[in-house]
Amino acid sequence: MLESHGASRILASFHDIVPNWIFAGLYFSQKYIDQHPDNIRKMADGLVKAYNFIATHETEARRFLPKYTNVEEDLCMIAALREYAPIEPMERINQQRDLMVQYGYIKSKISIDHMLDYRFVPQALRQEAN
Amino acid sequence: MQRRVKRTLFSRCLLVSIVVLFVAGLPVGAAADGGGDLPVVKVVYWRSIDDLPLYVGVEKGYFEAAGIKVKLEFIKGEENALAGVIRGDVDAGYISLASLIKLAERKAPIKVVMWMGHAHPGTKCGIHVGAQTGYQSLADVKGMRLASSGSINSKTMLTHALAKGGHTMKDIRALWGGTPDNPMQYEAALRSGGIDGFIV
Repeated sequence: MLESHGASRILASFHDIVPNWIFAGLYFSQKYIDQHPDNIRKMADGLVKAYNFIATHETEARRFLPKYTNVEEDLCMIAALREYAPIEPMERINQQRDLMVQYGYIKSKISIDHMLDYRFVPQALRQEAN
Repeated sequence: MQRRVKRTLFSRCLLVSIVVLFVAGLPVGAAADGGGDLPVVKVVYWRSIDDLPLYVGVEKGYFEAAGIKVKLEFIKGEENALAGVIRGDVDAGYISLASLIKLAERKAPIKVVMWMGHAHPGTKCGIHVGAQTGYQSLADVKGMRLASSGSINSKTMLTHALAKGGHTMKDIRALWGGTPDNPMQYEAALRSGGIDGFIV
């Protein structure tokens, strides 16, 4: 956003450095998952619809930003957005993990399979991801 | 008479204050009408542009159509949000892949149920340098003073970027812990000349 003020320029984007760098995941505690699986499925349904809306009505979606952020409206309309996919390819996840290990920030190439639970994502998207 | 006027004014001020405090105290999402008796899911958000799917879900009524009411709760910092989720103060939060891997090592009782975005060719997050600096590519960053949060994500990204330019961390001066609350603070730091660049 600062490029628009002339304060900075981008030397290399995350995507330039590691393509499709995964930023974050939505998580629940195991206790909540056990007790309220239906709420999580509904949450996932709503988020997937939101992802689709952002992809197809980006300008309209951006208009919600000033209400929730401290960012000026003109910046909200031009700031880069992420690309959203409820299920990221495992090889992409492992590639990021391997880099963290390679540079010494993570000890071992531990599997995170036991930290993922995609069963709440709509079935069609789960099949598409497989 | 004068005392009665003062008392009335005091009562009105008190009433207005109570109403203002009540409205200000509501989490975002709770102020909207509707939702009735739907189960409430409290989700941590960071007032960030990256939280856009949550805002869209609330504003477009997608969560309510699915059968839940989402309340967005601001909790600063990944660790604080995690503590809130584990305690049950809130129901969900965001976590970086790096933090998830660290938690996997400790077998923490949480699970990611879906991902919340990745970089793409239009991404503008990354290594930014001051417009007045002479840095033009990853190959000529020697001596750069670069501020970053110091998270594993940032460190990994930076180390890999340096490697692509034929450098290591020893070739730059990394300033960890730089996580301003808003973009204008980055701008001030750049314009002051205190730093040459930052990762955001």
